[in-house]
Amino acid sequence: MKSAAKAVKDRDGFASIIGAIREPLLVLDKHLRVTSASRSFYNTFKVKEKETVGELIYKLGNGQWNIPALKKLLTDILPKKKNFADYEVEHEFKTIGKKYMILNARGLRREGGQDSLILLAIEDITERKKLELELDAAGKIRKANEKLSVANQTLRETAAYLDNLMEYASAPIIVWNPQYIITRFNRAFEKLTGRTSKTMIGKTMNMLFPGALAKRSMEIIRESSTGNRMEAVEIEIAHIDGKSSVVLWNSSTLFEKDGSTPVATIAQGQDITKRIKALLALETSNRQLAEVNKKLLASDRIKAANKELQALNKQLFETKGLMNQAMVELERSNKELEQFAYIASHDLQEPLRMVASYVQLLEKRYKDKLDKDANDFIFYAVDGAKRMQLLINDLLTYSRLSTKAMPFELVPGEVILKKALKDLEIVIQSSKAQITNGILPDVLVDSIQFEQLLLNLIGNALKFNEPGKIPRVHVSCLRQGDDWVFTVKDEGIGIEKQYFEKVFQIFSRLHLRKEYAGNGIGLAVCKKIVERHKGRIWIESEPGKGTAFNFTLPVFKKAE
Amino acid sequence: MSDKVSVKRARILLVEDSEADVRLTKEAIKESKIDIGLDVVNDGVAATDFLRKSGKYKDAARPDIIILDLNLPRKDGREVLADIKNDPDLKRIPVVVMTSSKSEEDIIKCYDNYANCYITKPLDLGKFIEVVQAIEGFWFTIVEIPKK
Repeated sequence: MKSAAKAVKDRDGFASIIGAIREPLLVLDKHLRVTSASRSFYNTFKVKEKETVGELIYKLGNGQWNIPALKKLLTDILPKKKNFADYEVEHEFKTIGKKYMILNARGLRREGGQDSLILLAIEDITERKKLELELDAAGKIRKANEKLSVANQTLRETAAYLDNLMEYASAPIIVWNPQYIITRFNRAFEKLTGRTSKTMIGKTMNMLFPGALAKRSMEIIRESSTGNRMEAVEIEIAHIDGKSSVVLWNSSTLFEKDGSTPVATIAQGQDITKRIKALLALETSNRQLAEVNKKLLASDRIKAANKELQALNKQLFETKGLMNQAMVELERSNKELEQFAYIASHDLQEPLRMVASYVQLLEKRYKDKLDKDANDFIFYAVDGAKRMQLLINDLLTYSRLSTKAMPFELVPGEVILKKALKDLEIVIQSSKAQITNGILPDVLVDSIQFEQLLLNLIGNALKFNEPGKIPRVHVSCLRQGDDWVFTVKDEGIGIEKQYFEKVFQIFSRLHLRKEYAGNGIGLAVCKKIVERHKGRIWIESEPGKGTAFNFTLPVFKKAE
Repeated sequence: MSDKVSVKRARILLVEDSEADVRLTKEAIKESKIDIGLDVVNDGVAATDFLRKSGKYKDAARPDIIILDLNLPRKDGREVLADIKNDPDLKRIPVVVMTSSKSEEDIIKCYDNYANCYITKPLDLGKFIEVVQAIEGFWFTIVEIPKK
């Protein structure tokens, strides 16, 4: 009993000590059952004694003390002699809320074989902690504020920096909102447009562009603003004084977090007016260069050709010199012939005329007074003189074939034939001759000479006819290769083959004068005319059956 | 001698250097029906003197027509023609150029200088006589000539 009583007494003494301790204190047995607690404990944790003493610690207050970490520590104290101190714990108590505590616990041995006890001192540092936490939080806030103001400062500086960057950038920069109102307008843009940012901010984008181009330019702006980011385009920007610059326009749109709502678009323009002008100038000068090159090339070729020409010219010059000399000679010789012809016609004929005229006068005046012989003599004299006149005329005609030659012209053969026949009108009528012709071509001839040719041939055809027979003459033409072959055919007396060449000689005659008149010059004239026209003349004939005079003329071919 | 048509004596000035031709012309005129007074000068200077009645020709009669040869000594017939036709006093007198030249150039030049007509002397006597008579016939019986 004593021991029990003592125990109780001790216990009570102990308990009173415990009870007097100002800090919350728990005394636990080895089973972690509360044997006693300080008053402070009850006050602090708002529990009653009867709810506490005898209860397991973790069951206290409906398991509020059921802290696994604590349990472990407490369990280890006695067996392992592990006291702990300064064990900080925070715990959300259902009844009293959050508490911050420092726990100290130690084992307590007792004498007399009594069970050890655990002393668990609880220091409620909740207030302190709260304060600490507050301070901590305040400190954190302060730090955060500091950081924030630093950040703000940085931000401000960065913003200012960026602002300046944009403002003073050498490239014109502009920002506009989704309504196409200008929100930023930098110095460079002011310079480009001659407008101040003050006047431009708040205005619509289309103010930037020259009137006519505004529509198209705004389309381009719209495309870039809706996110269809385009490669840089060339846009004309208007200056307030009327002129405009060409600008390489590059824009980019900022979107909200949703990625599709535009916030603003920023664009940068690079004034490439000078570049464009330079480019155009370059193109122009390139073109001009190409032209010059072409000309140079041409002139090079021309130079080469010129050299050749010079060489040729030299040759030509020499040849020309020789030719000129020949021509001068020819002209001189022609002039001489002219003079001769003139002399022949005029000065020779004059005395001849006198002879003929006076002899005729004699004949006329004294015919009755003269005898037959005298009359005969006079007759021969006159006849001689007349013949001489004819001869001189013919010579003149013959010489004029070259001195009075005319240039060739294209004439219808029929027309010339008609002229020749007209000249022979009297003879034709008196002889009742029948002259026919086939189709005659156009010929390239000296028309006077060609007429003479036909006249002589037809005249001969009419003359060299059987007396009493009606002369029949046919003029025809056919083509042989590159030649026209003309034929004057008669039904006259014909020519012997041996004389086919001789008759063309000048002054050659086959008959007596009293049979057929003539000087023998007609065919020589024909031959000369035909040869001048690059043809040939020949005869087909049979005595008694008629004669065909054939001559050729080259067919006129037009130059391609 | 054939009957002459009673016409006032027609006067011809013949400007011709060839005596032979002068004689021929005279002979031809003899055959004429018209009473012709013929004056003859042998060169161009004498021709103009005669027409202007200067020097030894102060009593010269004004011809009704002039028959003019072209090739004359001293002053050429072409010059004489020009003188006559540029002289307001003389230009009315018909000038018949009669020459041996057949040259187209001469023909043109003479008509350009207002020759009234141009005749080439025929080679044949018969024709020569015809021509002279034709001249007379034309200018004196068909054509009107101003009196002054």
